[in-house]
Amino acid sequence: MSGASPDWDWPSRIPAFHAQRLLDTHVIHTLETAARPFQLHYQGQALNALIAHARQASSWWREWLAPPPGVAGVPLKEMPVLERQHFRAAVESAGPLPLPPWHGGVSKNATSGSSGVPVTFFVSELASRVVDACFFDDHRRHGRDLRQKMAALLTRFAPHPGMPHRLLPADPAQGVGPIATRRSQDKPVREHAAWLRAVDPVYLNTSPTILSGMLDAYEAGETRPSNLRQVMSIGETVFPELRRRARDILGASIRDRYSCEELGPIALQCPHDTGDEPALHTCVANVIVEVVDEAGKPCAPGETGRVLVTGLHHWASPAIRYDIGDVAALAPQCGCGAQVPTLTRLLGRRRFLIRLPSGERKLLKLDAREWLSVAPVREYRVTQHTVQAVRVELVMDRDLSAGEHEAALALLREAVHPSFDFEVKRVAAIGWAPGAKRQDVVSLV
Amino acid sequence: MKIPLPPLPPQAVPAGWQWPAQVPPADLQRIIDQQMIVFLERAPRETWHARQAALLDKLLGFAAQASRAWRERLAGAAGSPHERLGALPVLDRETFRALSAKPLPLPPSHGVATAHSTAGRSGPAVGFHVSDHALRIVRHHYAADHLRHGRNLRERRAAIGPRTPAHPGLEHVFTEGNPWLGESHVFTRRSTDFRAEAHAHWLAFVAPAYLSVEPVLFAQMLDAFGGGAPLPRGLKQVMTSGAPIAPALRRRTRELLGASIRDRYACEEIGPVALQCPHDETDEPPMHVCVANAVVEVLNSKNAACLPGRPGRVVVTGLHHWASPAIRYETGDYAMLAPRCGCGADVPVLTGLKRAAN
Repeated sequence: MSGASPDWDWPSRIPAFHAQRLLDTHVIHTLETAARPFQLHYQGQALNALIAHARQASSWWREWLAPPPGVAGVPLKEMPVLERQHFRAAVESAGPLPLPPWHGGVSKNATSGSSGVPVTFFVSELASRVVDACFFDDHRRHGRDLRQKMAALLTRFAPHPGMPHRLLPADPAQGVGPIATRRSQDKPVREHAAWLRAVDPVYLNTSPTILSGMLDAYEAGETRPSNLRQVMSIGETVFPELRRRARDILGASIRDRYSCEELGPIALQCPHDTGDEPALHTCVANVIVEVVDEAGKPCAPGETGRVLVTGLHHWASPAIRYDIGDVAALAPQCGCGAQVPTLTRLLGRRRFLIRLPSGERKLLKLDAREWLSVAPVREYRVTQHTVQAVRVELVMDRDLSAGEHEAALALLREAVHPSFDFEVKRVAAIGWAPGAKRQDVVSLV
Repeated sequence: MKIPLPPLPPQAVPAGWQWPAQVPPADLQRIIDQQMIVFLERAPRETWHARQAALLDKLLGFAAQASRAWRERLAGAAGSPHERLGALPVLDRETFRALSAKPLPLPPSHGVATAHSTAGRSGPAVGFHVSDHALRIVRHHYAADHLRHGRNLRERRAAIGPRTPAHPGLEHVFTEGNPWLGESHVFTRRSTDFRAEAHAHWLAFVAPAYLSVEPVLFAQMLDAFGGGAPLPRGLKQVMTSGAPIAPALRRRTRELLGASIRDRYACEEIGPVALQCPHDETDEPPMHVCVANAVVEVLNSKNAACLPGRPGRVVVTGLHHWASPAIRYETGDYAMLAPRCGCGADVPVLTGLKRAAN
């Protein structure tokens, strides 16, 4: 459009990628704001096409989706739940399913293993395009001016030795400002905090853990960035306290994105909910989301249960009623007026939630300050081994004193539940699972 | 009317929509165009100015190549496209009529040229031609205006105008909206077939959120409301065009109906020239020039550019109108031009608009 690129010659032509993105973001917005019957009509058509494809392309899926004898068609809610090991088996059985031409090529991906079960899977260009467009549309949803400076501090970037970040330059002709991208696992958090001040972006894309660490650094005296307005969070549960800290320390609001590696965005924070536990609109253009109880029956609105996700466009490695291991509640629509199913009480990974004697799952967050009030703890991990037994590993330079041991037990009884049998042990090191994400609370129940 | 409005028929989902695989090209074009129009309006000056320069360059090159009369008219102009434009003579109505007697031969990308004529508001009617391409840009500017003013097109809309085909025996007709474009149905009614008071009663019956109507008729409808006709509930915005809007009309609309007027300044020869600023809530809001459709100048009696804030003659150049080029075309209207809007948009704005008939 600036004349510098011959591809931009609106209204005669614009680059195909941008035309596609304009279309996709329009459709995503239209579906999010549409009446529920229209969303269901669209999703129903997409689901039927997905199921027909899976059945036609894979014997594994034909067998998996086979209706009971005498039953012509099975509604989604009566199809079997796809656990992670089934998803892995489906992919191992058939590889990437053969795709029609409009799905484009296929790339191989793998989950990070935060679920404990690493999985390799395949994603088509079309599915990737829809995923990309959902995330891009999220900028419009939250009123971001993309000409402003953005920074991204994530694990997925390639190393950049000797450079503080890689800079994607601004493109004024396309209304996009500069983006500084930095790999988060290569430097201590305190250095990230200083870097953020130096870059001073308006928008930041990072994980809650990194953000929390940087907030600690600013509270400890590191100079704060002055322009930050929004933090786009991803990958971990966002606690209300983190939202309050981001607001108080940086004057910025957190805008969360709930996604899974296999299917991309599942739900995006409501742009109108300014509370500390905002609702998330499910991405109706990308997925169908259900919340079911342990028996696989739909939970009542507001009742927490297992999150099942069906990726409408993920034809290379279909995920139909896929249990991603998370716990949340689902409401039929949002308080803002949007008629999209909305996730609330997003507690995160089931395996990172303590199972209480009542059977309920509890999100446990004991932060460093609470442990430090007990003893000079450097790292910690809480692992529930059985319904009754919880083991706590504390990395310290010396053994716990008797008083510290008692204080630790008192903290755990208060924070977790008084009925558990707690074993508190000092260890030299914790055997963290490979990958950058360290889960300090794990339930094996 | 005591019988309530019957429920609207369910919207048909257009068969050609199979997103993300494919969508109808015309719908895709509209989505792209309206986003680009809004983008250019919000872009820094150098961005839209560069686009205008590219379009002007093509327009001038085409006109010179396609017509000897235009070749002669454009001879000698040098410099950047905007500089060449500024050196050209102003095109008066009679010369435009003579040059537009036949459409210029269009490249395939511009489609077919259809015959139009002005209504004769500012003089005898003038015949000219408009290509499919130019009509597309004009239509999509009006579509983009919905985005600009934050309209939810799923809410009920109504339009009263002289161009609606006659609908004898019917209060109104439907235009079906496309749900993939976020639209619901539009109730349309021919303005010349009913009196203002009947229109006022009809408006209360239909109770739309958005109404498109000409200002003169709308003022008469307000008289009817003030005289006791039932008030329409839920009206949010009134889209006007065809005559300047007096501040008093805006106040009456707000006080009687709780709605705001959103004006569109256009000329038949090139379509939208300027659209009301979506952020200015005063009774004399500025109009953002449609930089994606036209170059707008305000000239004094010596054909020099007026200083910002000084009134002068409105001269327009339609960037996409190749069938009957309107290059430095004198509209007969008067206004003041400022380089940017107080809302922050870096586009020229018109204020104090006075139409030729006034």
